Order: sequence, then structure tokens, then C-alpha cells
Amino acid sequence: MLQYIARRLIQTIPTVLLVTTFVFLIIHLVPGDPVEMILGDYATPDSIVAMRGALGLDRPLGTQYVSFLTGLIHGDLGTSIRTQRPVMAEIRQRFPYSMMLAFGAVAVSTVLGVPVGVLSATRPGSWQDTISMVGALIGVSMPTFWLGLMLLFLFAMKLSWFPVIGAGDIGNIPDTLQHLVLPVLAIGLSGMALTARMTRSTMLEVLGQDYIRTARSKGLAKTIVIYKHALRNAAIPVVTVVGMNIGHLLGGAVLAETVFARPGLGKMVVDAILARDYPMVQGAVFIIAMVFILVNLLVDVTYAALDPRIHYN
Amino acid sequence: MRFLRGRKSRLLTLTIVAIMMVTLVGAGCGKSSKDTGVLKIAQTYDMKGLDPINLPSVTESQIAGNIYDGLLQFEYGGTKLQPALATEWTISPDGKTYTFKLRKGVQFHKDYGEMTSADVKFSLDRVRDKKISQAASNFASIDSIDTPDASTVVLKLNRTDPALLTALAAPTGGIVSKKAVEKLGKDYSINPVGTGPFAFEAWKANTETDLVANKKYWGSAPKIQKLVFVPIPEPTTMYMAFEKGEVDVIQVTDGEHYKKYKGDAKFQVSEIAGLITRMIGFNQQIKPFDNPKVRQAVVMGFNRDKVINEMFGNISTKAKGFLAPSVPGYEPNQEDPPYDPVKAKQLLTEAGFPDGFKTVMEVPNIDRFTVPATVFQEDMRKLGITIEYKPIDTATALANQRKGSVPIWSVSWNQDPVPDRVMMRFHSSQYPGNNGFGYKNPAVDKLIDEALASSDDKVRSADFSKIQQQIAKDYVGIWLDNEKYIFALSKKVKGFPADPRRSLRMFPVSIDPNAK
Repeated sequence: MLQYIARRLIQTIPTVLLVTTFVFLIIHLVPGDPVEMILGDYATPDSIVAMRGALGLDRPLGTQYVSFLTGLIHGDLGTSIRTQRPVMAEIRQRFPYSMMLAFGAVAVSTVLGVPVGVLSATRPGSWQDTISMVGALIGVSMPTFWLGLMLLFLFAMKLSWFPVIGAGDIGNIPDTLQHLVLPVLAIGLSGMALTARMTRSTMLEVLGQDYIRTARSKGLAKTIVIYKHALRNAAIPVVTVVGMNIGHLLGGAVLAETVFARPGLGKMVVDAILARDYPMVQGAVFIIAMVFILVNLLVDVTYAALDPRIHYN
Repeated sequence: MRFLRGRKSRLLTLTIVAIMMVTLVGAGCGKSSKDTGVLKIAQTYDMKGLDPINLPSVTESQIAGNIYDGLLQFEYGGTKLQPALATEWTISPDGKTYTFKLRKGVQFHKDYGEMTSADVKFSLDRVRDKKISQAASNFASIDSIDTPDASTVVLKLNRTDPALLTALAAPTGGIVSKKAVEKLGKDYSINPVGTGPFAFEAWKANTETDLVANKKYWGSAPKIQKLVFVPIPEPTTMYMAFEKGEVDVIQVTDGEHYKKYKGDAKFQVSEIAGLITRMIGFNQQIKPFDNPKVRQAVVMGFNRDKVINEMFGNISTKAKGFLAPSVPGYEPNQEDPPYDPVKAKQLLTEAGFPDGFKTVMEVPNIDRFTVPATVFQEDMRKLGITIEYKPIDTATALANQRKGSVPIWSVSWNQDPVPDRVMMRFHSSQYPGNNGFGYKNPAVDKLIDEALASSDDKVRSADFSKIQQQIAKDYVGIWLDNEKYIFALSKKVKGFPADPRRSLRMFPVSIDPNAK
């Protein structure tokens, strides 16, 4: 297993390299110039040239790419053009909030989604199934942005249960949780719907298998058949979805971050793209890609734990 | 529900209930800004750093205006210049030597010592360095800086520059502590040290920027203990946070909320015409906008009143000319073409386009530009002009406009309380670049050169007047409106006037804890 993990980790290198190269090319290809953005309306030709030179943006693209890679090897993601601070420091400031949001949302979607999926699968065609699946369809279709504003309107404005803005004081757990509930629901509910639908379909497939019939005919309790025999076998695709969700939400929670005025990597990347802050975009994408790959690795390792037939050696 | 039976499920239910209780207990004692002495101000963006050489947007300038003093300052709520760190100044008869006497005994925040001429020289040398400073072009006239003694600063200029005093009063002219900049290096921008009424305390990314009252301030002591600037990117969320009392000051940018807060006794509204003009420009170097009749037709065919009254809900006033009316040198007697689609159609026919033509318009993808642009597109369609309308991100829009590759574009110009920099935008030497109009008129070039080189106010205002009248006659662009700066305040905020520069200087503002 350890060998497998080591091999997978080595394999991440070309993947990450490919991702960063692609991002480097794309961000430099789009029109717009960070220096013109910084200098704004009153940029003069000589001030543009001077600042471009000072920031190293007048060097050939190839040279800029090589210096980005050299920095990367030394663990240096460069300096943000916009803030003039190390990209790593900017990421570190926001990373914990993104992790909280991603894990919170995935926890909500799993804890609520799996039981709903199981309920539907064990009573296909029943009214519970219909309600769950219609609910899931609505959940998947509801835009995060709109749902977030509705949650704010109901729970923060009308009922005053939760605050409207911010992420709370990170050292104060009740405060942090209180600020986390609505954003986590805003993202988690659509994730939950997806998880529920996925659980239902794989459960239905598994429940039709011979070994389930055998288990039932042995006289095992229904709960044991469903949760121990069926769910464990149906879990693999669900785990995949959960893993993808975590990776996706780390950088993709920009709408929730915007609506709830929370710090996060998603908003940071979008702002950096709009400002053409090349080092910031490259650095953030690099980190998000790394986490994505690591979560995927974790998912693969979990497969083996769930299904003893899967070996990696 | 069967699946929730069993011990594990019960444990799970209990955990969920416990989490909900913990969070709800906190709900009642949420940190709203009800404490006395703390003022929470909403801004759209998070600040990117507070070094005067790099204040990328109005967000940073609004915060920095509380931390730094310049040699001069704007009168509170207005644009007149007043002494600040300089108590007096003299300008030599040729207009090329400025001598400032510094206020004595002014202390930098955080025990960085007394402010001296060395700090002033250091600050101004930094801000005019084109390699590092975003604002270098505002200080380009400075040739050298002498400090004959600790409380005298002499600026030697390479040309006369009547706009320089204004630049020295703006946040980018803020005086920094030399010692602090040298000691903190790259960390300075998130640990700024000035002499202003509030000192920087903390910044939490995308969460808040905190300033505290400077007890050693040379002027009258600030009445508020703490200022908290809170970035809230989504306007709907910002309005909710304001109505719930989580922030005390917001800028209102839509007509609906403007009306709502004006009519509600729970809130106060402070508004003023901004130093800003929103416009739609055409590039004369691209056909058919080289034809003055085509430009006149386009100007007259666009119903500005509809945009201002119906679409924006009276949060702006109709512009007459490209300068904001409160900029000194503004010419009120200039041609202001009325909305006349019939005349417009006739002009198009005379210009040889009886059936109209096809063209492209690029605008930043922000409501304040896309809303007028869609009305414009519709009005032009009525004249037979087909506009391919492209809302794009601001960086691309700006780049293409500067390159001169777009026939029609739209922007807002923030303006100084002196017209010099705006005038330069009509100079032929600025195309491609700041002159996105591709406007080339040798007579106007001459007037601009003369006005900007003169330190005689009479010459300057006569020239500025002629320039504005000529540009109106040449139909260079559509001067849409001057946006109002509207701020909504909670009842407890006392003594805050909106100002035409949209600065948020808070030193005379107080909080009345008893106000409801």
C-alpha cells in the first residue's frame, strides 16, 4: 500500500506540471495587462514601461515561466503583483476558511444525502421515494447564489438566528460554527441532492444482487442487510462523488464566499484573474490542484478499505 | 423513519442537535456593531495594501485617508485645500519652487518617532518613482527635493504644475515613516505607519481592516475608538447586513435602496454629486466615427434621461460636458445636444448612412455600464445602427480601449479637484493610450499645452473653457451623467457628510449610543 501511495505521489508531478503550464499559458493569453490595471485611468506610457520592467513582466514569456518553475521547486510561489506580498502568505490566510467550508458542505451532503438515498432505494416507487427524489432534483437545480440569499433572508434577517456576513473569529468555535451554518447549507444542499441520487441508484443495483437475497434468506435483520451488506458495496461511487466534491469546493465555492462575504480561495482566484495577477492565479491553482490530487488519492485508498477485493500491490 | 433508528443514529441526531444549540446560543450575542466607540463601514472589495505608492482602488484610498496625513489636506466634506503636515507654503514667482514649513512635534503611530523633513523627502521620492509607484504620474513634475532643515521641504519642479498641491493632499501623497518602511520592507503595506487620526491595527483577509484612534494626533482627537472596514462583495448581502445593524455605513448604488432608506426614519442618507463622469466614447480613428455628423447623430439619438430617471432611479444627475461640475474650471456654457431622434436620423442620411451601419461596443461587465449600454443599443437600433454589444471584464475593456481597437466603449472618470489630468486625455499625443477617443485637434492640443504650463489662473480658466466648448462642438463622446455618492448611515452615526471625492475620513464623526 505504501509503495502504491509513493508511486501515486510521484505521478502527481507531471499532472501538476501540466496544470500549471496550462494555467500559465491561458492567463497570459487573455488580453489585459496587470500594470495598466494597477496604474488605472492615468497610466502614462513611460510609467507603464518602468513598472513592467520592475515587475519582470517585460521578460519573454519563456523566461517568466522558467523563473516561476524555479521558484516552485524552491517552495516559492512568487509575489502577488497586486498586493506585493508572497502568494503563499495570501493563500495561507484563506486556506483554513476554504477547508472549513468544503468539509462542512461535504459533511452535510453526506450525512443527509446517504440516508435519504438509502430510504429511497429500499422503498422504490413509494411516496418517500418520490418526495426524496423530487426534493433532490430541486436541490440539484437550485442556484447556490439564490439559495444563499434566501437562507440569509429567512434565517439571518427574519429569524435573526445567524449573522449575515463574515466567517467569525477563528479562535472562537461557537462563533465560527454560527457563521458556517448558512454557507454550508447553501452549498451542502445541492451536494446532498447529488449524493442522495447517487446512493439511490447504486443501492438499487446492489439490492438486486444474489448475495443480498442470500443474506435476506439467512434471516438477517433488514438493517444489517441494508447497512452492512448493501451500503458498503454501494459506497464506492458515493465516496468518489464525496472526494470530487471536496476538491471542487476548495476553489469553487466562490458564490458562497461572495454571498456570505467570507474569505476563501475561490474568491481570491477570481479576483486575481480579473486583476491579471499572474503569480497569484498560478500559485493558487497549483495549491488547489495539489489538494485535488491528494483527495483523489485518499479516495482510492478508501476504496481498498471499503472493498477487500481491491488491492494496490 | 426507520433509518434513524438504532444507537448510532441516535448519537448522530444528538450531535446535530448539539451543534445547532451551540450555534444558536451564540446567535443572540452576535458581534454586531452596537458597542459604542466602534464604527463598521462596508466596502465592496477587500483592501490590497495601504502603502501610498500602491493604493489600487478607492477601497484602499478610503482607508488610507484615515491613516495618513499629506502636506496638505482637503477641507472636511469638500475639495478646498488646507494645511495639514505643512503649516504654510510659498510658491516662487516662476511657479517652479515650492517651499513647505512643516508642523512641529507630529508623532508617527506606534512610537515611530517624530515626523521630519527626511520622512517627507523619503515619502515623495518613493511615490514619484515610476518603477514602484502606481501614482508616479501625479508627481512627475517634481525634479528634486531638498531638506535645508528638519522642518523645511523644498520641491524643485521641472515645469509649472498647478495640480501638484492637489496631489499632495490626496492619500497617495500621504507621508510615511521612513523608519517603518525600511524596517518592515514587504510587510509594510499590511502594517502601515502614518501620522493620521487613526492608526492601523489589523487586517484579516476578506474579513476586516481595523484602525484605532490615534491618541497622539496633532489635530483634534478622533471621537470614535475604532474603525472597522468590512468587505462585502454582494450588494444584496451588504444591504441586509446594514439593515440588521451589522454595519453602520454603506454606499448605496441603486435607486431602489436609495428611495427606501430616504423614506425610512431608522436610517440617515448623506449624498453629494461626485467628482465623476460616466460616458460613452467613440474612437474617431475607426470609421465611420471620423465623420462629425455621425458622432452628432449618435449623441442626439441616445435618450440619456431615460437611463438616469427610469433605469438608475435618480442616483445621478445629467452631465453637461466631460468635467464634473464641481471641478474648478468647469464651463457651464457649452453645447449640450438634446435627445432628438428625428434630427439624428437626418444627420445620418446627410453623412451618407441613410440605412445606418454596423459597429461594435465593448463595456466592462458591471451594471453601471451594461445598463446604459443596453438602452444605447436599443436607441441606436431605431436609427438603423446595429451594435454588436460585448460586455467583457474590466481589464480587457481597459486594454482594448487604450489600444484603440474598439469603436465604442464606456467608462467612468474619477476626477481630481483640478482639471489638468482630464484635459490631457484629449491631447493627440495620448493616442493610443489615455485618449481613447482618438481625438486629434491641433487647436485643442495647443490650448491644453498652454493651460497646463501656465500658473496664471486667468489663462488657465480661459483655455479650459475654450477646450470644453470645442470638444462639445466636435461631439467627441456622450457625457452621460455625474453619479451621486450616496451613503446610508445608521441613526447613531453623527457628523458624517458624503464628500465629492468619496473619501471616508472619520475623525470628526461620533457615535450616539442612545440613538435608535
